Amino acid sequence: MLKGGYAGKVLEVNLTTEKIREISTEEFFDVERFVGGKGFGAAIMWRKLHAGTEPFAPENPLIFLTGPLTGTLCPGSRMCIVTKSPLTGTFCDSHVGGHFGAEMKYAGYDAIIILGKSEKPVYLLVNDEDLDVRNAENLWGLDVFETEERIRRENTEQALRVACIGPAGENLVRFACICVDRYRQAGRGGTGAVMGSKKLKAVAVRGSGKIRLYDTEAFVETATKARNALLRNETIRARKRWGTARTITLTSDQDLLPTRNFQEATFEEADSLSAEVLEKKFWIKHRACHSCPVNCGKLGVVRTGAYAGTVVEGVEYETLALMGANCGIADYEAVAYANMLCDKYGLDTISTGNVIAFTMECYEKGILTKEDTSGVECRFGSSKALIELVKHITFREGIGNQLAEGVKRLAEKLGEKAEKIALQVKGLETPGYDPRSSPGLGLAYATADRGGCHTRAWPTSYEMSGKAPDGTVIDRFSTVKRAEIVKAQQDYGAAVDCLVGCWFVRGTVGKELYAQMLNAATGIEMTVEEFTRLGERVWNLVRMFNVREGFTRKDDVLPQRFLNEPLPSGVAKGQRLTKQQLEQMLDEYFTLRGWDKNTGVPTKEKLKELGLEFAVLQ
Amino acid sequence: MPRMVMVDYKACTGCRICEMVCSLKNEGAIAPSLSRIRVYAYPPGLDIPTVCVQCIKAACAEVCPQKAITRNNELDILTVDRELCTGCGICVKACPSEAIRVHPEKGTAFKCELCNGEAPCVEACPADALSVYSVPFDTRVFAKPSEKVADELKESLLAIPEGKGRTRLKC
Repeated sequence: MLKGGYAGKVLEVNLTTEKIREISTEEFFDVERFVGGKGFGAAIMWRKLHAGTEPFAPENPLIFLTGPLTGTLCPGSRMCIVTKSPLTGTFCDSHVGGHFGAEMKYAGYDAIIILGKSEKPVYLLVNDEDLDVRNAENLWGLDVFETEERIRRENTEQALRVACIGPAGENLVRFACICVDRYRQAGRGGTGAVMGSKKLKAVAVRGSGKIRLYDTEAFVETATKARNALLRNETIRARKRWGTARTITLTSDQDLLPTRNFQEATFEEADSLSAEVLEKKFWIKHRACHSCPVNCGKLGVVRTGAYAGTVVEGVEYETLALMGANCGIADYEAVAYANMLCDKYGLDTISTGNVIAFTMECYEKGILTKEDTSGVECRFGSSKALIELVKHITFREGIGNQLAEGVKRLAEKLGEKAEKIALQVKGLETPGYDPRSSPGLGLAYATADRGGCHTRAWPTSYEMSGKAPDGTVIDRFSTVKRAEIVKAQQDYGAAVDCLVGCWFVRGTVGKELYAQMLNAATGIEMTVEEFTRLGERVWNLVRMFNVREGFTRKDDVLPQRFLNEPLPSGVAKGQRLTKQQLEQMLDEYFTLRGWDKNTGVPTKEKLKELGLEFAVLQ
Repeated sequence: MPRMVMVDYKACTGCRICEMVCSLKNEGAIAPSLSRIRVYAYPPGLDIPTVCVQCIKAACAEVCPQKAITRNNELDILTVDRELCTGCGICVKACPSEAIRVHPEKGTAFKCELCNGEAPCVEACPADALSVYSVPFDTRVFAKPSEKVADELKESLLAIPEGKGRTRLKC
């Protein structure tokens, strides 16, 4: 019997048969072993999916998952969406804040599993125990903002929370996202395209239920302690004021900022995209996800110029980096407008910015001509090109139809010269940090479970400070201790992703407080070691999922540019991450993980040790 | 002087910690739908907390057929007498700010009664958007539907005058 924290039920909706069933959470999941969020997602994907299933096939589940701390006072309450990614073909857990996850819990559900495929557009309404698959033909084609408002009006319910796709998801753009609460996205990996393939326009939830806690007093005390620790922390205070945008001047100074399709890592005009400028000219209000004291979200409005009137929450660092510097654009107003369009159409700004920058470099190098690009002058620095291409991608018009397939598939079509300048790992476009000036991040990208991703491990802060977590001095550009740091961050991160906690607060909250909150909320008795073990278990199961799909060490690679082209400017001028350095880090990493060094496959012994006997492949 | 939880709408980040703290204190569980303060989202990206403003000339008290809503002179707030209340819901319709509702389990009207002046929501708010004030005039001027507050906030925060006209918002 679950003692607290959980909502208690799992909802399974088959869109082909229109059958809906409810199962108790503890019957459906091994709760103590996988806890929630990413852990539950990994368990279902392992159980439900046959290897080699097409991501757009009806059999690929789309799973909305909360954790035992979602919707509680645990600071930064999030959810994740799990599916097989149409971009990478790997396991994909895409995390999102906002309020949808909390509302799902109040409606009584820990997870909503969507199976099958509808013939006509539909949306799922979950109003406490009132469940309905509704016709959405009148919503199909609408943008994200309009969809959300229409569903609220249709149900005359202001407390409804909506997760939906825009035209990009409908058009199966491989990096379309699922949008929550207007300005929050389960951004990476193309979850929105999977939703589009199921003809599912939206899921709307409202809950009037309660979340009970095993030991309310202890929980409130610990959660309050975590909240106060955050409010006192100096990095968090900066984040509270400037959001993620303050990172851009740091990364430009530190030679980490993708500039003109990662040709450089310092942007001469970074200051004009900085938080100082945005605060002065653009932002009007702070915004937070459910239960978060940090409020890293900033609502802004463009007040002058061609894009005056543009309202958007952001502009987040990743968007400034990929759609700004990486496209050579220093005009924050244009970037804000492109950001708003992506939110409205349902596109991941990281992949979109990366794909567009790639197109710009191809254009400048003659790999693509003006005829190829439907007459758009795709030059670095062109805001017009940025905005036009966002529209082309969404509606798959002209060149947009190719771009919508993502950098990997596009480059393969264009040939060897293009592949050399395609920045992706396993098909996922690389985000806003250049690993040439952060070797550990290279290892993190190569080994991340969903491809080129910065939210599985981010050893960069240790590298910049010159000190490992245990205090030993490390040279910024060496590979020493990187395997150890990356493994520890991945394991801890995966454990927090089961709760489901936020990437930005986990460093300050720390594993002790997370374990205490988990125990007080649920009555599970988990030590700090067991908590880390949980992360390692989930990381290994996800690796086995990817192994079953055919991924091994040969796929744990980096884009050629990072390995072959030294950084041309900035504090890390001349640096690159050699193939030899990467291989050496991988050797150390697999050894530490207890995985076969040659294949990168977890050994039988390791799987048994983690209680994953069922995942041993014959 | 009436005392009330005063909301700074511009400061509210929409984290809804107040709803959780309120329901924990008054219901013993996290249950935002039973919170005395509720936060509603309005486009584009505005969060509007709604809570009883303790009007002196109070519509809810005037319409109550049981005279169950009266002024507690000690705290100078409006309180509901649960013995007298029949849960008819007339007050819910009369309140201009959606701040009084009928409890689905207890069957009687409920609203913010300032937790005896302690107001844990104020204490927990990480954005300093809530405070308890003693107001030297009738607080009914603050009683408005959340939708209207959202419209006003949109007007004051987002309107961009340009020349003689008004720039249309792109959102």
